[in-house]
Amino acid sequence: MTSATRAVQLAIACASTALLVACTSAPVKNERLELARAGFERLSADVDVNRYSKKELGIARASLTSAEKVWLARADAVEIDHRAYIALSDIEIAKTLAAVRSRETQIANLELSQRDAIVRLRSAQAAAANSAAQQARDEAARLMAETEQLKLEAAERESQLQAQLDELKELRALQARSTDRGMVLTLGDLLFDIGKSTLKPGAISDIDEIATFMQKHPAHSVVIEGHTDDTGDEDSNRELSLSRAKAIGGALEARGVDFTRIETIGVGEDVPVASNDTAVGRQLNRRVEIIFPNNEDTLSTGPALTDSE
Amino acid sequence: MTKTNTISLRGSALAIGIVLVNGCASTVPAPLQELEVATTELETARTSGAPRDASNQWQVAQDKFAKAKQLLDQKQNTAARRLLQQATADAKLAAAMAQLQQRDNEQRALQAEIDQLQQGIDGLEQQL
Repeated sequence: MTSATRAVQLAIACASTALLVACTSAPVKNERLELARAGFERLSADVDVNRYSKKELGIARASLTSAEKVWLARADAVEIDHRAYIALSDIEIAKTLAAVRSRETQIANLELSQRDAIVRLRSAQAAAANSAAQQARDEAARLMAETEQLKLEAAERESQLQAQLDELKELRALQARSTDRGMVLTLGDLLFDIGKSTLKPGAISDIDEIATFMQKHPAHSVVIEGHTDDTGDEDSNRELSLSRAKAIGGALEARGVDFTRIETIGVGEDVPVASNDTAVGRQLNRRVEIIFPNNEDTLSTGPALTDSE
Repeated sequence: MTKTNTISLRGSALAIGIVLVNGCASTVPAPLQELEVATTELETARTSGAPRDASNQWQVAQDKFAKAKQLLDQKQNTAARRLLQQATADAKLAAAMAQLQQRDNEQRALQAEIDQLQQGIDGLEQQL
């Protein structure tokens, strides 16, 4: 081995040792660059960033690479810090713009939802308006029907009252008077001969009028009561008064009044209306009373007819 | 022997480095292009509504830009270049943050409108 060869070998050894020493001492740790590395790692894993800001991700990568380069070249800390700052900013920009574009997508979807909601609101408003209109129509129809019903009832009531009034007028025309028992028409003793129960011809017109009234008011029943004065035997007076009542009842039947509507009673001398001590009083006591019981019930309800039998 | 060589080698490399840095400092040209870019980005951020919607970040960008112009006046071109580059990045971020704030507002307002519409619909449907 020559001295020259040894010298070359030594030189190579020295050079490689120098390189080795240089490489083993790594560049000084830079805190901001560490942050940028970590930030970029998160950024490149971010779904939104990969979808919405690919371009900005590329810019951030280039910035980080540039910072790494000066760090590896052991440039001064100010330059490394500066480039790391730019890298960190570019990372933030990429992240923020990804969020902006993601919001824009969400906003576009919300605008669709809004349009849909407006359509649904309009249709709900229309449905509500329809329903309100229908309710108003139903209510109007109901009120109209109710009004109509009330009118009918009022008219019916009025015609009932009118009928009662007419009836009353007719009975008044027959000289009937109002009593607790109803309208009472008193026929004097001139209809019969003394002691007899045969109707005299003069009674005909009175009987006709009563029959006409009864026919006009088929709901009415009638009670016919015969009365006498106290002359003579009490039993025969009762018999006579009954015969006279029956005679009038028979005459009504002969004029078409159904017998079920007629009740005949012989009272005799028990219910005088005047003193039997005078001739005038006795004449007043000899009478037949035609009673039309208070007609409220007989007019409004059918069964009253059968009750009065 | 080897050790001494290495030390002298490293020493001379360091010396050359220092000479280079010092030499560059005096001859670095004014960062006029960086100034132009920073001016443009600040203007973009301003029209994006950054002063209102990203006021802190906007302030950072403005402050750096002002400091950079001071440094330019003092011919400290390297420091000025760095600050202009940073102001540019700050302005871009301010513009993006302003946009995000605006989209957030828009989204919230839209959601509120939809909620109100939905309430109206629910109310009407309950009536039926």
